[in-house]
Amino acid sequence: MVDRVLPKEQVSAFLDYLRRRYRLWAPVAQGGGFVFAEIDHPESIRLDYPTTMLPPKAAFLPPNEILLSIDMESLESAPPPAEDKPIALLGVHPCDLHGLMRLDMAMREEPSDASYVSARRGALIIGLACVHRCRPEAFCDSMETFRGAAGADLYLTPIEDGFWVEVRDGAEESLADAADCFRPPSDRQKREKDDINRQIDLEFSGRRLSLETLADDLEKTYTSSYWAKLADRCFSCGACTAVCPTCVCFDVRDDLAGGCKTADRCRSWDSCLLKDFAAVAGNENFRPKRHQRLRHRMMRQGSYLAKRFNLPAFCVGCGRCPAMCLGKISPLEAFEFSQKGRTVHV
Amino acid sequence: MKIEVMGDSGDRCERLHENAVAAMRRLGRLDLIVRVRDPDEIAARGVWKTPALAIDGQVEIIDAVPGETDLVSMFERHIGEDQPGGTMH
Repeated sequence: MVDRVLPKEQVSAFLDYLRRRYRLWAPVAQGGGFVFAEIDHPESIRLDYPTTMLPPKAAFLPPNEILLSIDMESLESAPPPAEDKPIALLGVHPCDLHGLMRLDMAMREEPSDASYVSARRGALIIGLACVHRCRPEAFCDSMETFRGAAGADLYLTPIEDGFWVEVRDGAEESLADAADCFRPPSDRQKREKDDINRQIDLEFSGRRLSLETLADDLEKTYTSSYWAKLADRCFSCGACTAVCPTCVCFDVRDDLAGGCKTADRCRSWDSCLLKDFAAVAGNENFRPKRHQRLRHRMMRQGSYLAKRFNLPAFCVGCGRCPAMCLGKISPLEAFEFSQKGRTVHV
Repeated sequence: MKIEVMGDSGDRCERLHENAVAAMRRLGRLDLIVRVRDPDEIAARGVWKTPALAIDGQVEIIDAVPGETDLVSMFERHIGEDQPGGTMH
């Protein structure tokens, strides 16, 4: 990791560089909140945003996309034409950096997902530190995802003169012709950065889970009546999965388009909270009951995928799902329930 | 006020304890600072990572080492809500 400073007066030059070389995505204000969107006007970028409604996942795994088009006469098929420039994702907070790392693991696991890998290839990920908690529902302190430099090519920390920039080893070449935007840090800026790091540690020091044992603790609750009680507050609407940075499930269908001349194989986000998600032929359903579906999602996020990818948890504690949930259900409730009365060594 | 510094050994635990003592001295107070070292007692408080610090039983800090200045303002907030503790002057 190499440390640099991006002075305020160089930020617009750096944004111009990014837009010349990449399709720039960044947080912008929309509908009373913030979203990640492709940038046409740099002045619309809002790096002071707390969090977004949807995670940056949509840049690489959009809600809807065409995977393949088939010519109905020749029956030849072809994927959509590749984009000319890779994506640069600017302003990704630590929880979403941890989310993208988990998304990469899931989508690159063999057999890897061709469309995702293609969208992700050559992408530049620019993280942005959180100095304050974004909203009450966020539990990145419990999941220990509030620090985030790993997973970013550049990691920005706001300082008085602009941004402190941690450049990942090997990311220098992608910045070769933007190098004159950056300066070596002064001693005063170093002291300011250390102070900010201490503030961050203190801001996010209120709660912790026993992350090393969470996956096992959660699985032990599988037969508990807790899940039926929790499901009393669940509408099984799938809002939680729609806003989750690490949900990857999708559905595929074929659409006839262009007067039946072409057929498009389309994929769209799906949700294991929806009743027909686990419906199979013969009128069977693996999870017909609401509490089964709710428990399944929590188990995936706190146990199954954690074990599969050797992580403490798959959930990154961003707080989007409890914020969007009509019943205000948070994974943290279930995680903390599973660890009540635990007497593990510290 | 009763201050509990949780954590057995390790320089972060020692530094948090020292900073808590220094902050109390700066405030000119003699409030009790207790060191909790038993891991099971710490885990029973729902604390899974150390160092940690509790004020009057309420866990305020986990897995961080605030400086003396941060602790002074934290203690002052609690003193404001509390009756006056033993003061040195």
